[in-house]
Amino acid sequence: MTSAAPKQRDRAAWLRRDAERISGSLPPLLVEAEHLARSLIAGAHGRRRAGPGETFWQYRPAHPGDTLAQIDWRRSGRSDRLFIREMEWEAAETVMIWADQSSSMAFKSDNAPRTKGERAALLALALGVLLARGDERVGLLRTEAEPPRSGQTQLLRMAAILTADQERAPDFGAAPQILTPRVGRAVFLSDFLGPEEGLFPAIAQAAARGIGGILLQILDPVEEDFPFRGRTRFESMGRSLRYDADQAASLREAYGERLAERRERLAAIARGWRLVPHRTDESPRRALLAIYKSLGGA
Amino acid sequence: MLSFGTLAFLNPWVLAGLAALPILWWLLRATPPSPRIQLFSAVRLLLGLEERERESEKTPWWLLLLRAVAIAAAILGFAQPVLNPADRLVEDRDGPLLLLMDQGWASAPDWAARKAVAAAALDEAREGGRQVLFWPLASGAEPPLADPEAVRPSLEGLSPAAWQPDRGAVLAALDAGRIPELGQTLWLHDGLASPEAETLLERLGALGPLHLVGPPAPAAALVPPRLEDGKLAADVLRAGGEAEDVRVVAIAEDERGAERRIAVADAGFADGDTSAVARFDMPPELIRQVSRIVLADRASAGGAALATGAIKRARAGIVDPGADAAVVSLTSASHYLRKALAPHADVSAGTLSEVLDREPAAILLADYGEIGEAERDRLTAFVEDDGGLLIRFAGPRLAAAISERLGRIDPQDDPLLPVRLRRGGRVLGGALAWSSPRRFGPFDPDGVFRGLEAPGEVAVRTQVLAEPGPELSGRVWAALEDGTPLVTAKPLGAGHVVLFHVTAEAEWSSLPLSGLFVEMLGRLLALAPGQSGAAPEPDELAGTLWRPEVLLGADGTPRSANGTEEPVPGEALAELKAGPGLGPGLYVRADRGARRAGETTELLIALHGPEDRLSPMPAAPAGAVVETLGGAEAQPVAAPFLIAALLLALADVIATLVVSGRLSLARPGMAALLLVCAAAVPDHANAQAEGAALAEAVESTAETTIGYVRTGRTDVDRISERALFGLRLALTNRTSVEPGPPVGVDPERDMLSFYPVLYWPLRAESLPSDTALARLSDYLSGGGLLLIDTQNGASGFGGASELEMRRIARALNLPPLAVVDRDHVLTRTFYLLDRFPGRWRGGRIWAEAPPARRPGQPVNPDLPSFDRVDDNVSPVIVGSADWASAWAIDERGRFMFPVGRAGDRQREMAIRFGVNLVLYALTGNYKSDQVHAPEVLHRLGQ
Repeated sequence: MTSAAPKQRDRAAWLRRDAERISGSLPPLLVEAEHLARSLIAGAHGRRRAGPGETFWQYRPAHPGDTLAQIDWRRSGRSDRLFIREMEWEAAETVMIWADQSSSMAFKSDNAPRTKGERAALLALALGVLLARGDERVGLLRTEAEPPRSGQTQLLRMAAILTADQERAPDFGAAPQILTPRVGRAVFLSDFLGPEEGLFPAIAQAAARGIGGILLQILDPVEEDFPFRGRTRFESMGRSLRYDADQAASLREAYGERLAERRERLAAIARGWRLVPHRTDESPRRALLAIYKSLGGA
Repeated sequence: MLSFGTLAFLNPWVLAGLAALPILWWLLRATPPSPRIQLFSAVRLLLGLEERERESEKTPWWLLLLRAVAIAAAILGFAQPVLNPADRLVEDRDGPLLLLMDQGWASAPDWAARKAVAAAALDEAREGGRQVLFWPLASGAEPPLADPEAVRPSLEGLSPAAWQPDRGAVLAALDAGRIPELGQTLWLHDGLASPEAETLLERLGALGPLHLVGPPAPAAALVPPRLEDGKLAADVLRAGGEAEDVRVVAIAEDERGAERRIAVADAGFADGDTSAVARFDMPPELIRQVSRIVLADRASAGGAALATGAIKRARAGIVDPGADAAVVSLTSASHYLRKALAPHADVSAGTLSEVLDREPAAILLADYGEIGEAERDRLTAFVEDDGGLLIRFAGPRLAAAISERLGRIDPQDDPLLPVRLRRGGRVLGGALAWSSPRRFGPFDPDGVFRGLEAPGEVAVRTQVLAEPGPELSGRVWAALEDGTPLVTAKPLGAGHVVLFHVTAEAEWSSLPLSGLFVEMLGRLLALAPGQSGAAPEPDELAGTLWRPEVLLGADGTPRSANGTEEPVPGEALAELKAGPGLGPGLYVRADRGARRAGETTELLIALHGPEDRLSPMPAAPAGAVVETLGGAEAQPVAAPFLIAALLLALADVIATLVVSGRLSLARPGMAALLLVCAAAVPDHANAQAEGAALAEAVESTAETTIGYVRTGRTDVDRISERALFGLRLALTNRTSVEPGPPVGVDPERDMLSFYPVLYWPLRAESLPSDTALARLSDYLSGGGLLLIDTQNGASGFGGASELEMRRIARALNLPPLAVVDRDHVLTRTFYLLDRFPGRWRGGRIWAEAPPARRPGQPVNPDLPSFDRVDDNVSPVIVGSADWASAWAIDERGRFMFPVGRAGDRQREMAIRFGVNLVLYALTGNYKSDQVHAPEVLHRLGQ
């Protein structure tokens, strides 16, 4: 039940951000995402072993066979032995992100700060920022940014895509198939409330290909609490589905069971994936941390 | 117009909408309240769910009922219901209309309503194109058939007569066949029976359709007051009815002729009683000042009685054998008696036979010794038969007579002494006595002298003593502190014999020197028969002429006849009853014929004697239409219906929201809101009452504060408040009165005594409750001034209906009012004013009436008539000019309403009136004293 005025304000805000983007500065979403990501940097972990990377890992005494170029002269100068500066091994991995931008994600209840779609975009981009720091390759599924790349350009591209106006979005999002080869992981950000046939096959297929991943189910508080009462006609965002209830309050329990059931089935389909539930009234950092941890820890 | 009893509808066709209610019911029932639409992404999860509490798709029945009632109320409201609709008086028939109007005293209380009904009947007859036989029954003439327009002027000029309507004249005309074929008879009767009433009703009923319009209750009547055991009593007559108390007011005239109400008494009627007695509880001294008594309500000639004769000053004769006629002695008994009696009676002196010849009510014998045989018989007859009062005083002669008589006559046989006296008296104090002078003991609380206080310095030195006996204690009216009888009395026949055991001069005691003596004599004189003379026999009246001195008007107010009335032959007065052509009042002898000694020269002619009874109008013949006069005014009642419809519609909105779940009563905020809405007014009032009252009291008394009476109507109250702000500004700018901010008062709750002036917009739609009126009455009696403004531009009390106004005036205990003329001090307390406009012009204002002039009292033309009111401020000023609108300024000091035409200074005059009013309230009649300034200066010059 977003009234007209806040929507107008949102539009204006977005418009301003668009203007900033055109003027060449960082997209605001990206700024926000970087801000969010920065709060996690301290807790981010590398591979915890030496390897090709940028981060200092350890000094070790030089062994025969090490090239001269590897020797860290500054450290070696302080003693009689030669040291080699080892970096932490940072293997570039390909992470595919799907941020559901269907109309269903555009829902926002009165008490929620953002729509689900905005939250998904934010988390997707923040994840992108984190991954880009690690020089990992990120692709945004089913967009122009699908080919996984690393680096700031890819982030900017992702930001542009995620903040672009959605036109004629489908009522519910269907999970995309991951066609890109050599994909290490996938992160699906959606409410997973669409029809099962649109969701499950793609997820099952990805799981079957051995791609590990995370399903982040972003739900509005009301979608989890179901606080409705009285005579209510429920309509989906695209008005494609409707349901009339005389006593909405009496449906709460049954709805809760249905929701739990849907989660179970999701978890069952995506073997080896993690299902992380997230509410838009929670801090996005928690979700980002959960995603990042499970990505890093895998 | 469609009418059901007292309810009628001006637009009855709208009621057809009620027939559509069942259809509406069905429609509403088929359409449940529309659901709330909720966007919800997870609809998919809901699909296929079955609700456990499946509610019917239909609207709940109570919501349906609510809506049906709301719509029914709206339909009724738009059908313009009218309560007590006016009926047509004149039926649609051919033939002339006989319009009879009882025009007697009993029609006076509701004369205006009667005239209105008659005028309406004439209008209807005119519309019907019918001729009218308009017959006011006290006119004494037989009217011709005429067109309604032709008789309209005579109706306008008609006023009631002070006697009974002459119904016999109609009967005579009927008998003589002088009444033409009638289409209808309309009789505005006064509700009282007369000998001819029954026959007349039958005859009229036989003539054609008969329409009777009578008052809700016939007028009550008063019989001239009398004295009953020293108390003023008056019979109130009525024609029957339920138990009620009828209030009677005694009005007195002071020396200057100013009238004031000195006492009220209630006559308690039991159910069905036709007469009851109103007994006034007032001191005898006051009784003699009573000039007339009137019924407090529904004034009429029958409901007023002049209090002459029976209770007027008694005539007392003093017989003092010790007085020397040639020398005026200031120490003689007769001098003391004359002075002491002067406030109570007309006094004459002389020998016993001379005094007896004058037929006094009381004879005072100052130390009279042996009474001669012939005189003794006359004196005994005077007391026994005429009920006269004989007051004797002891003294040397009486003591001597007792001693002398002992042995000859048994003193027990002396009927002219209340007790047996012992030979010789007793002497207290003095050079050779041990004892000291005795003082008075307390008076018997039930006796004649109840309530009197004996001053300590009154002492008795010498007295005669009563012989002890079984009957003595019952005859002692006053005793000394040791119980010695000092005043004894006994009834004798119809009268009383009283003996003071001391002298009438200060020889034996100091009683005659004290004020107590005057009071005691006053009490005793109340026992005297007031009748100054027996009613003359009819044959005595033959050949005499009598001229009315004071006549009672039909409304019960006396007016001086000033000798302009035709003398009436004595034969006509034989009955002592007023009748057609003979108004009730006081008649004096006008011829110069020979008069016998003691012959009465004043006759009180009244409408009703003690034996008269009023009886209600006989039952109307079958087929006659009987209506009650005035009744309730036609009252449109659409507004309550429409308001109810609106409220119900609001309730429906809330209920619908609740049903559809958009509004939850369970939410604490909402419940609290509803509670606050429901209980806002009383809670607010109770919670803040005490603290606010205190704060308000402090605020109101810190400065002079003008208040206004809150009516409960927001718009009116706001204008009142702003008006007083405007007046406050004017007062502050122009005078030394600098009032505080005005305060609105609720007369039911707030302290009123803080405000010297209260402005009261009296609107018909917000009449005060009885509590409020009682408190306002207290306010007025405490010296407050109430400016009553009916705000409608009509003069006087036009704002409220007449009945309500009467209720208000009575509850406020208002004095008689009169139009304020240019004499009134209100015209010059600050500005010199000659008119008092508000927003309206031309209206008159009313204030307490100046005293009625006593007949024959000289008028000092130099004195404005209003200045002859006692030094008091009129408690009310009544007007209708809507001063509030003229004074009102908004927050920026601009006048809120346009007043008058440009340049005619109407607003300025309105403000000046306000200034004058406040100064009048604050300074009283100070300015009217300026009238005397030249005289004061003149004297100072000497």
